Amino acid sequence: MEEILLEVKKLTKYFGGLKAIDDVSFRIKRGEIFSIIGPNGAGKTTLFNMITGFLTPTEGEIFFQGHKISGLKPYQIARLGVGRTFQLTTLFMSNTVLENLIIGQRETRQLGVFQSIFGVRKREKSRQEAEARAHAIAEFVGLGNQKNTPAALLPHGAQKQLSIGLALSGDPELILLDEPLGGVDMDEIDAIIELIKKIRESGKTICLIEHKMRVVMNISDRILALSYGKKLIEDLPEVVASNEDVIASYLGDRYAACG
Amino acid sequence: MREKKKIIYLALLFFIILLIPQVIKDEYYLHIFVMSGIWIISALSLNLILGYAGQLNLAQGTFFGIGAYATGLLMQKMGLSFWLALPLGCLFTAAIGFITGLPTLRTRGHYFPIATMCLGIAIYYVIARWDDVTGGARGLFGLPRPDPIALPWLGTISFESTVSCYYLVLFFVVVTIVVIQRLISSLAGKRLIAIRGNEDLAQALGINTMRDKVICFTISTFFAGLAGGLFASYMSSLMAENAHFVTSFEMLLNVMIGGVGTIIGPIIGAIFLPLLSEELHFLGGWRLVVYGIILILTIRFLPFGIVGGIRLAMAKRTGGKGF
Repeated sequence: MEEILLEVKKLTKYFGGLKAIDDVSFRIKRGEIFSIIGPNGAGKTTLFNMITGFLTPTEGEIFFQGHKISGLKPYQIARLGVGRTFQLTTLFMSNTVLENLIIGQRETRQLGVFQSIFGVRKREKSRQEAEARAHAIAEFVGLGNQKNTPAALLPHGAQKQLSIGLALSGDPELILLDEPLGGVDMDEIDAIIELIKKIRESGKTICLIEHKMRVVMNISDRILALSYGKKLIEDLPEVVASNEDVIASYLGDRYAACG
Repeated sequence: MREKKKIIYLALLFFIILLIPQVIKDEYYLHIFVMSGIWIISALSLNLILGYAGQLNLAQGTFFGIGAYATGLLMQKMGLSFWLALPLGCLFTAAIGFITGLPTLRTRGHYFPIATMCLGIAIYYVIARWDDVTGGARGLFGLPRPDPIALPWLGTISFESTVSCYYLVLFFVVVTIVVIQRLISSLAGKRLIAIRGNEDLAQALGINTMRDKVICFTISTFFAGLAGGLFASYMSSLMAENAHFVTSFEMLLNVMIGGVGTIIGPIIGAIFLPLLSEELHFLGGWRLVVYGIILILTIRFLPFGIVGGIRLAMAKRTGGKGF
């Protein structure tokens, strides 16, 4: 039996009079790579922001591992095990790769302020654990040679790798990647695709927003297609690729009729 | 090895600082050193919220004033000993910091400095107009120095002389440095740096940014109150001006010119600027113009203050990457 990790139920989001998300429901199963596609403005990032608590849904509910997470704050959802990246590569730019990854560790968010000032053993132990895990993640995402480089000085591809490393650093069950290949050079793309596959092999579930269709069709187990905030289809890649509504939303009705 | 060297240097420096009153007997200079100590505590308190958590608090001078008035009034009106009035004054300041931090820290970007500036001005007027309690525009006079304390072996220490106040303030400077240094060098300090770097990202990583900002603000106001309490007892009089937002700007200047986001920077700024201020006394009100020019030049050429400039120069000499 397949376990449902994330369930989105009849989600609707209004921005003023604009319906950005219109009655969208879907389920993400544990261990799969689930992709969300759709033209610009389809509501993909809005959906991510609602799952991670940065926006509250106007209507509908979101469940993660059976817990209702809609209405919780972003840090609460992150602590339950949902990691994310942002569309615009978001890092602690003036800090090094290692410092970035230390900030993301569970130990970092858990250490009390009182402990940090007056504590002795726990203070040191938690720092050592966080550092050890940060080193391991730097190696895992392929930045082992650049641990002490400030994030701002990394090439764009490496910044994307670091942002994925940050999403991984709190050891989440589900990782939401918002255009991990956006603006990345051709020769850097393969490294990131390999990284995404490696994350899945390590037992994590991935939800992906991506525009590079060939990559999405290759890598995904299932795909959700959105257009103008509405769900078009949620199915296997080959079924989605040949769906007339999907083709129409990407290329216009004329092409769909020809195809 | 490097750590060991650092500790030796620090111990040496501390020894020299301990010996200063034995060498320099001039009351005037000792007075300036005591004031520097008080400004160091307040600059470090502002630096905690500004330099590490990245929140530009423009009410820090007012919290200094709250601590000063609370300590002063507890001594004068309630007849409490300095040793009880000072911690209570700090706690009172921190409580006001906590209560006012809750709404103001919800704002982001430019709104937080605006909100805190308004807060500072409002509290200043409360202090300046509440004649029955604070003495209003006349201020408070005749505040006592700390009571003598009896120590085993050393006998009784009284705090009437400037030298004894020097050691008293030095003690609290060290306490402030140790507490803030331990906080920011821990993982909890990394959270503050994360909030300064990017609050959304910090939240996405499971950091309760609002909680950490409020705690940091409360600790920061606690130390501002400590500086104020020491000031009240040392000066033995208080004016509403001490809680004015000009005080906030002087602290800001100390932090910015010394080097924001470092421990040593605000210390250097808090020693250097009051000295300069004394030297420029003959200029009267024009002093502030010189301050303004220094601030503009600093922001233009040394955005991370004296310490940032030195670090950059050293990195260039050793062929580093400038970080």
